[in-house]
Amino acid sequence: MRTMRKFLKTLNKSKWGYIFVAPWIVGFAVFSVYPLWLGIKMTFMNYNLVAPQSMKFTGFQNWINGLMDITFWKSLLNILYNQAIFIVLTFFIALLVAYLLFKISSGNKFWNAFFRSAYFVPTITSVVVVMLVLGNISAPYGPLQTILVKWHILSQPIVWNLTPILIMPVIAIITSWMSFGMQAIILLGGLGTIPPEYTEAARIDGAKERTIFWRITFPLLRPQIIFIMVMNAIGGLQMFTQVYVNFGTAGGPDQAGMTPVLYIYDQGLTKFQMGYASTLGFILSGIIIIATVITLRVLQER
Amino acid sequence: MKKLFVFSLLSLLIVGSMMAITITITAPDAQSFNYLQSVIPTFEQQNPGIKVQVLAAPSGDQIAAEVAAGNPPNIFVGPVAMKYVQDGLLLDFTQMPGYDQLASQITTGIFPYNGGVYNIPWMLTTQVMFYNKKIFELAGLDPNKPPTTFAEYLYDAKKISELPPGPYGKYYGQFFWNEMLSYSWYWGMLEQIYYNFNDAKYPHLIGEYGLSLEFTNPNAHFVDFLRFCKEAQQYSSSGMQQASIFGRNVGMWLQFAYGWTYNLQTSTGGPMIYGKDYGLAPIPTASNSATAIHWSTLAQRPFLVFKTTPQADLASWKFIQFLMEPQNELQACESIGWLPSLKVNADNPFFQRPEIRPYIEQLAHVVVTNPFETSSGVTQAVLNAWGQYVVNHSIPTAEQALEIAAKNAQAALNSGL
Amino acid sequence: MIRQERNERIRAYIFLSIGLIITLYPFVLMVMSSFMTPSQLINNPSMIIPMPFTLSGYIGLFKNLDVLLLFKNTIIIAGSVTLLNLFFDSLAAFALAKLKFPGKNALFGFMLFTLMIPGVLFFIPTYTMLYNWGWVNHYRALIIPSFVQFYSIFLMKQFMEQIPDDVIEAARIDGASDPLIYSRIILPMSVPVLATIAILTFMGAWNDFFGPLLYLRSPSLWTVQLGLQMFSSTIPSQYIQVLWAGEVVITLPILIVFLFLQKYFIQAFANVSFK
Repeated sequence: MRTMRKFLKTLNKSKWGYIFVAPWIVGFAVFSVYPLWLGIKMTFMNYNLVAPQSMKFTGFQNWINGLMDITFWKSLLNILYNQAIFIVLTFFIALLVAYLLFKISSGNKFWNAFFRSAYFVPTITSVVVVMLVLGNISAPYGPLQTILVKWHILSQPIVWNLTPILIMPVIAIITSWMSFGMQAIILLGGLGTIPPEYTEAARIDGAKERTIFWRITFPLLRPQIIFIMVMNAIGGLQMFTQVYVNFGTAGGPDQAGMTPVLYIYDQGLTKFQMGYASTLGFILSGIIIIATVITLRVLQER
Repeated sequence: MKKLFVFSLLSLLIVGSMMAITITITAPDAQSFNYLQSVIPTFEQQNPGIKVQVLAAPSGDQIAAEVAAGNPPNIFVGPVAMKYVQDGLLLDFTQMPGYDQLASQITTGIFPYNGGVYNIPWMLTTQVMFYNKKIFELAGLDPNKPPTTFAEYLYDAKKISELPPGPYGKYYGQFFWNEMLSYSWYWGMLEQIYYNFNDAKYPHLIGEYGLSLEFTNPNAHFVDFLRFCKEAQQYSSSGMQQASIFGRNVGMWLQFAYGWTYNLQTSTGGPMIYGKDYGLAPIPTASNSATAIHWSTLAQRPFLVFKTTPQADLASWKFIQFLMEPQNELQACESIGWLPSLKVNADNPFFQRPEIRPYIEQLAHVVVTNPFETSSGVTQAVLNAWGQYVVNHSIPTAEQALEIAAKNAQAALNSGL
Repeated sequence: MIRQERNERIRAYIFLSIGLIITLYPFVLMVMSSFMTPSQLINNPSMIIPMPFTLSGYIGLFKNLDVLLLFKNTIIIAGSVTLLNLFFDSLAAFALAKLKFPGKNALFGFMLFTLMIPGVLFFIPTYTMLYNWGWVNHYRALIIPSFVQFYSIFLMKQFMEQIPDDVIEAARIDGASDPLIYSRIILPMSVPVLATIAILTFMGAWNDFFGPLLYLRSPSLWTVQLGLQMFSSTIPSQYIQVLWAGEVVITLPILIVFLFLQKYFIQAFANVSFK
């Protein structure tokens, strides 16, 4: 009786919490539970997408094959190579841009608005245009390589999409260009919430600008940094469009452009092996969970 | 057969008398979309029981989703995965009334598979060699004597590349569209060179049943093909940036379909005119015999039908028959810009114009490319080795390139692709 | 002090101006290309000044497409998705960031988990489901399934966590209920993140091509992205200048929405005052 009352009391106290998250739960139940259940079921089946009548129960065969699939693990190595470059590059560019934009936010209103918009433009330019234009720029005789050759940084122009070792770095740079604006906006939002008194006090004490930034401002950006890094861990490992646009489902020379999701897409939607694709999908989810937990551990416990 | 015919007739009666049926057709591009829209009223008037809806073409994975949900388009224009044929999802046209009559009127392009026919050729195209007469003159070559062998081709290309830069920039002997190397369809622009090295005896990369590699056969002369491409690449620009094929600084290239001639209207320095600025000739061959056949590819965007109900299948077939009526096909070719499938249309004055006739004549010696998408893994393995040997020089010899291509292609084949 | 701040600002302006070359080049090239003739587009793709200057791309675009209808359709879809998300996402984010209820952390962990399953796996079952419900060829197929998105909830939650608890506690002591706290305190203080989510959600729905291609069949329902399909051609470069003009016309509204919200970004940052 007592516990019941206590329970009801807690429930009453927390009712708004439940009501507020209810839409997400309803949305998930309606739109995702069935696909998710089907996906889990399929990992134990040999399921040909367009000939469902031939479905067969195969036990753990898909899981065993998946864990021993060399291409899948190679694709994972590729994406880790890509992300190592992408995450560092994008974050520091975004941080610098956010910092500079924040510096000018107390100045002229028009220029403030202008620069913020200008740095957000890459984020809203369509992927097709980005690929077309950046493809032109990075082409062997495009403007960029011409300059690099002229400055003797390169001895001769390079066809990057035929050079396995360069494929992931170049894609990382292009992706970086597309997403630093977004990260900068998020960090800028964070900078805006830091009470100016915090930094002013340090400044009055004669601390250097650099020290103030790294000792006071940067740690206060932790919520934004956690968001960015967790999203990197989750989204980055699922990178697909950029490689698909450049290399189709084959993944480029020596499969150097193959990513896990591209491989899953290939297995499921071009070879119609939906059961196997599903299994690889859940193996990837497991890996992403590990990456996310590591990211959270590192960032939260400091 | 007879039973089916009676059944078809019966269902036709049912369809005609009882209820209207709506079928869908996908259009691969804007021209075909507009063309199909424009002829549907006539068809619907002739067939009161059938309504036709044109759809924007779904992407490959979307077709898979629609098929899995049981909602595929009825008529699909353009290639789909071979898997759909193998799993029995497409309509076998030989079972439809009036198929034999239609088939007898078609020049080329039907691709029988396992005793059935699943494609009706539409929007045909083939490839011939395009050469710039003005540049030939400049290089001291005879503008009326385009190369007929690969050796001559390389000689002419070299001569052109040695010209001093002109008003349109540096001159390039020839052009490969290497920007497209990472897409497996690009093989469709190189394969003609390859099988002209073996008199089209080994036109495909893999054997008929997809079980073994064919290009590795020594008689296929794949190594010669690779060597030729590598030398030709020396006389090419590395991309469209330096040399646009319509920028009047490229001597020769292989050119699909006369639809492309549209681009000649917008060439640098005004339209390029057939006979005066440029000429068309068959693709060179390896043999220097005067009777050697110059092979080329027949590519198409065929009609395919996803089986649904017998009524819908029959209605789809009727619409295809309607579209293949000579005057309709001619109108389609004129407005969409492709070559005709019907013999009677090939003789039409529209296709007898000098700048189109070389394409029509080529139709006599074509290798019909599989109109279904297959084994992109094998193609990709070959293209990658090609690129690394010809363009990037990261594979030093042609023999090694063949070896690497064979190894990766075999791996792709083994993985069931 | 003030002088030092000014010097810093000037330095920031210089750095930012240099960076503009990198961020704006593709965009400028896109706008310039929309005024070029097909000949220049094909033959001199790296040249940036239109010579000669032509409006034929825009004329072709507006002559062949009912641009207003396409815009209307797209705004209905993108606008609905944005409004629904702003409301439902912020509610959930508020609950996750500031309210206490049993199972909260588990729920958040589960939400995070759903992002970790590759979307490819959901694609086909979702289509089958919506098709069986008869949603194909209706806007709801594009709007309802994305009415609440965890990505946005997460971003908002991170932002709202910075709102000090004492502000909320003070309101609670004054007798404010959670819905009142949400509407009177949380929403006004979250304008920066709401504006960010608004632009990102709107942009995502606006630029979506494959969703409408799959679900919208009748041309009368088409979005701007689908409309541009009408200039796709199996003959490369046939409509190239129209396509460039189309890209500009499609990107412009997003830019305008952003410039409009831009104002709120600044105001919001100025207003957020923490004790």
